[in-house]
Amino acid sequence: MNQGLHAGGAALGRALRALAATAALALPFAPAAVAEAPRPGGKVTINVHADAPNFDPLASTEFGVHSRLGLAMNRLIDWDTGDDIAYGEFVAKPALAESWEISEDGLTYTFHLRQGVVWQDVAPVSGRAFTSADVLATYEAMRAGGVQKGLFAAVDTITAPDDHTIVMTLKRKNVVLLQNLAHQNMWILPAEAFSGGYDRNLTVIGTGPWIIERNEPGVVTHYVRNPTYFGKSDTGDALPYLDEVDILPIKDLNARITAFRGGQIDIWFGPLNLTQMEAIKAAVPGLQDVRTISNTQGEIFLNPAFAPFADLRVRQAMNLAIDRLAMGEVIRGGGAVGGVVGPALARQTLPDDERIALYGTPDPEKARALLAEAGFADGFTFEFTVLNYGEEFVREAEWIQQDLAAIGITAEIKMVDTVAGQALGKEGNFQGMYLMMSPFAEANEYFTTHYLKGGIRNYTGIDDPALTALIEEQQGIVDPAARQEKIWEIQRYIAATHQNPLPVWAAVLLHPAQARVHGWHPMLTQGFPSLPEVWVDQ
Amino acid sequence: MTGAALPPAVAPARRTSRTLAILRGLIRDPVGCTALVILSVVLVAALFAPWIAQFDPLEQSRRMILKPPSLTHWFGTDDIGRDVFSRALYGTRVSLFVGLMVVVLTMSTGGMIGMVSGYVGGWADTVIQRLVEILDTVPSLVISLFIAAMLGPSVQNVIIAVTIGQFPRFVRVIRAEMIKVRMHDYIAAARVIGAPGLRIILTHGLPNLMPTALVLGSLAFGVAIMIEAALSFLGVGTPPPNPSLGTMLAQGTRFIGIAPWLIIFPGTMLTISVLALNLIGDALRDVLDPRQR
Amino acid sequence: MLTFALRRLVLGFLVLIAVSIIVFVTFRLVPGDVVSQQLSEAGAVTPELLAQKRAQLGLDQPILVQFTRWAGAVLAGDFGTSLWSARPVFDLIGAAVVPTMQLAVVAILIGLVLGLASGVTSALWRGTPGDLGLRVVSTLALAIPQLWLGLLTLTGLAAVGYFIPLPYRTFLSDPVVNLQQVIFPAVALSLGVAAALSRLTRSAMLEVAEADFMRAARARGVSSATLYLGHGLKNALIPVITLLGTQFGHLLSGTVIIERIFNIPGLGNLLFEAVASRDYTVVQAAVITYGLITIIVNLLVDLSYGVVDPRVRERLS
Repeated sequence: MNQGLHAGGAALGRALRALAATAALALPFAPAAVAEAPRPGGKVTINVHADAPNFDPLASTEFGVHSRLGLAMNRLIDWDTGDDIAYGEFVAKPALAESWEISEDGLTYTFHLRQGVVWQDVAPVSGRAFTSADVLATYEAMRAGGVQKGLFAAVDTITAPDDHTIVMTLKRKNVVLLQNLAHQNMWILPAEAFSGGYDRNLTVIGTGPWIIERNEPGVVTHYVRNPTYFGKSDTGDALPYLDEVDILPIKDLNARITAFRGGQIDIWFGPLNLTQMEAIKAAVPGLQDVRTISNTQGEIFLNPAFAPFADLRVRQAMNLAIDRLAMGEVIRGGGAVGGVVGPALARQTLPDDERIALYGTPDPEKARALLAEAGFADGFTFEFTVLNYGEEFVREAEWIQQDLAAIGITAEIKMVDTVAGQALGKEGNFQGMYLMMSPFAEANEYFTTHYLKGGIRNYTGIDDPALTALIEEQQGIVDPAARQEKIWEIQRYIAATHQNPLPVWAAVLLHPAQARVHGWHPMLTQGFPSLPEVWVDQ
Repeated sequence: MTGAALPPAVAPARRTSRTLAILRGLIRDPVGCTALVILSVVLVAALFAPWIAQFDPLEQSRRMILKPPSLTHWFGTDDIGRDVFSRALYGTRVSLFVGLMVVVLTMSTGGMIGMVSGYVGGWADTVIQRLVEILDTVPSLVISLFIAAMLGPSVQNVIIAVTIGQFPRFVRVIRAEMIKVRMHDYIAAARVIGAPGLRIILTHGLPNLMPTALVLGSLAFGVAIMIEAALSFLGVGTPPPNPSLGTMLAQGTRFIGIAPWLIIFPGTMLTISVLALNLIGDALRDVLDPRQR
Repeated sequence: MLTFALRRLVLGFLVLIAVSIIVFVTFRLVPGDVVSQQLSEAGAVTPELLAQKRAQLGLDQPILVQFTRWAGAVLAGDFGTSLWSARPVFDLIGAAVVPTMQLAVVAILIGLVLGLASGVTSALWRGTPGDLGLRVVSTLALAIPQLWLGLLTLTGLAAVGYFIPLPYRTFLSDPVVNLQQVIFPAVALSLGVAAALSRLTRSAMLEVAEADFMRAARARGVSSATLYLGHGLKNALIPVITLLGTQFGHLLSGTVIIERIFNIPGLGNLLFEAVASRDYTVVQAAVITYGLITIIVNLLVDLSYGVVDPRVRERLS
């Protein structure tokens, strides 16, 4: 059957490739420019398919927490959004820092904080003014034991010369510092949160556009407009436009679809495939069909402790066996071929043509030849540990299994849950492992986690001095074009010398929204940064 | 419920003739006859799946995605183009296999423990009863879910998980029966002449308990099939790519309202299998204990 | 009577202790822990940070120390906080028990009404096609897995375009919405109970029909419907209570699946997610809660025998 697609499907293949290329632009299919002026007031309902276990941003990286905090809190620097900014493109936007300067040597950053910002009127902070002391307290707590600790790895000191200035000095040049400060987990909390003034697990006090009025786990997180929010639109309107926002934690896909079709959800967040989307589209008039590329991608780790996988030719053969473009179309209904750096990072991943040439051009003949060269002409059998990231992901694993069988490799699927899988990965206790990579927002995150010794995703024990040098070099290149070139070079090097893990596919991400919602731009970072500018029809 | 269906104690008889008698009884009984017919259809479908199915249940026909039922694909195709009919047949096979193994395991271990517990009495009985009570305190699906999640998904682990969830009931009922059987004169007589306990249990206890065990077993078979489906549905049961009716249902939930055949057909196979086993259980009860009619 | 209840309670308590020990020890053998899950999406995690977080939660201690600490606190009435959410376990369980119990109780009530009605009808119509039809339906209802019934309900609702309102509301906060959310899963759960009850009621009533005093009454010209309802139902009462007791456990199992399908934030969903995130304290408490519910229901069943039947009351005391 696989052959059938290749033989009879040259045209189909071209079409798939074209489709993938279009999708990979990752630009939201923005609705035609609306001439109407934004209208304040109203309410939208968003679904986030997990509860917030608590509201402490230092305790976990859970998207259920950070996407909810985004409505109530701010970071020093935010991700800009708009019709001309791609889903995975970081454009720094002043948030609590109004401006900043970087010293000549790239080692000192000076941030000028926004004046006149006040905390939300929630006890015990009760609307007092925001100052540099809050930033200091937050960052110090994060550096001491927050999940954000690693983002400060290059930072040496943080000081506050006055109430509205923060100065950071670095141990080494680190061009991703601004993006690290805009990272989805980097919310600024009032100093009281760290001095025992209140329990940050339960109480949320930020400077953001909405105040959490009520949170019922499993039911709803209800927000009301923060009248003291500092944000202004381009035309000078006070933000946010919306008076109320509800976030519903509906886990079940069908319940979610039902709720969206019934108009109970305005903005979709979370997994949905194209078949389901078509059905929704038919039922919901005027639906906005916004599509992006997911910032998580499937990756196959091949443990060199298992003899066949120690041979680069075997890894190359497996790479050539998998028909990713067809797989992505059939199972995910679109998306883009994966890369060493995921395709959602449109400016950092290798260009589409090159990624397709590297990973999206199956060649079973050549694969078999490589296997024979490596001494596995008759193939081999391995245990294929698959983390349970849901039905589609399991379908992908089954697809890969069939593709590998075509070149004589038998993959015996062993399902594990995600926690167990990560534990097995860390212990190196697997042969082949298929998992969904974390939603990284910077090429540097991909590199340091996968390819540096001790990296949290370095499940295959890669320790290559040449590669380490390249990765460190890239961290110090200030010129964007030169850095992009270096980032590409690293990816080509990894594809040629390591080919491990094998990047697979980043699914199309569908963000349908009801017709009444305007100004909605989904963004890779968690916390819905475009929401303050969203407005609705009556 | 089952406890009420006590067959009258009978002296040991030759086994083959009894099996034949039971079978004859089943065929004469209208419910039994229906049950046998349905069960044989299900069994044939499962046993001869490789010959009946026109497609490999794992073969992905990648250009036949989510096709509704047709003459080629009787039950339609799934989201990577596999034939749902073939998968349902093989899934039934998995269900029946798991069910059978669970029944065999619960009957042998649970039955044995129950018989010993009922025969010996005393502190051993007390200990066994307390252990059973521990398992019995938590709903069986919760136990099975917990164990399956702990062991990781595989057919073998599902069998273990379902068995542990099911066997307390077996121990309890068989023990109660054994206590009754123990009271009978011929056992007392055997004890007086000094026959060893195990032999008494096997030669006198077993044949007398067989009817109860059969009824209980056929009902447990149906329950096991349902629990296997539930565990697979929750993602801790039979692992992919092997088709299981439960995983097929889980797969279909994503296409409710789009591809209802993914829900309807595996569910029908599941229900028919359970129905056949329940009916057999009912009929056996009628045949073995005419008083209950 | 009272001593009997007390003895059952003490025994149940001992059983719960055993359950908690088993769960505590076995669940820790599962690979992975809550810390790796909490930090799973962070790119910049260091091994030191992982160790630091584990120490904060006390997960670096020997298992015996962890158990004595936990058990000591539980005996003092403190179930601790969730490792995953840092919320008090007691609150989490409390919030989850309500929807589960409501679902089970509504399902039992629906099952009771449907089952008794169809059982009585079946007995009154004995031998007619109506009787046969009802018996076939109840046999089918016993065989349909709740899992499939739930999915079929959703399929059917999707087909007719009805949408169950969201988000979930408790009965106290919004009874109208709550009932719309509960009624479909409860019906899906109740059919098995109804079917079992229907069969039981039918046979219990037919049994009475053969009794001498019934013949005598009929001879006196009392209408048979009145007789059946008067004596037949009374005769069925004890087996029905027994059946409800055993069916309750079955129902509780069913809620795990049904909550999942209908997205009800009950105990089953809580347990399922706690297992997935290795939230030891919540898993332990959830399993104990299931045990507690079973013990209480069994006790109620035993006690109700006494209320219904004076002979039992005498024997028990």
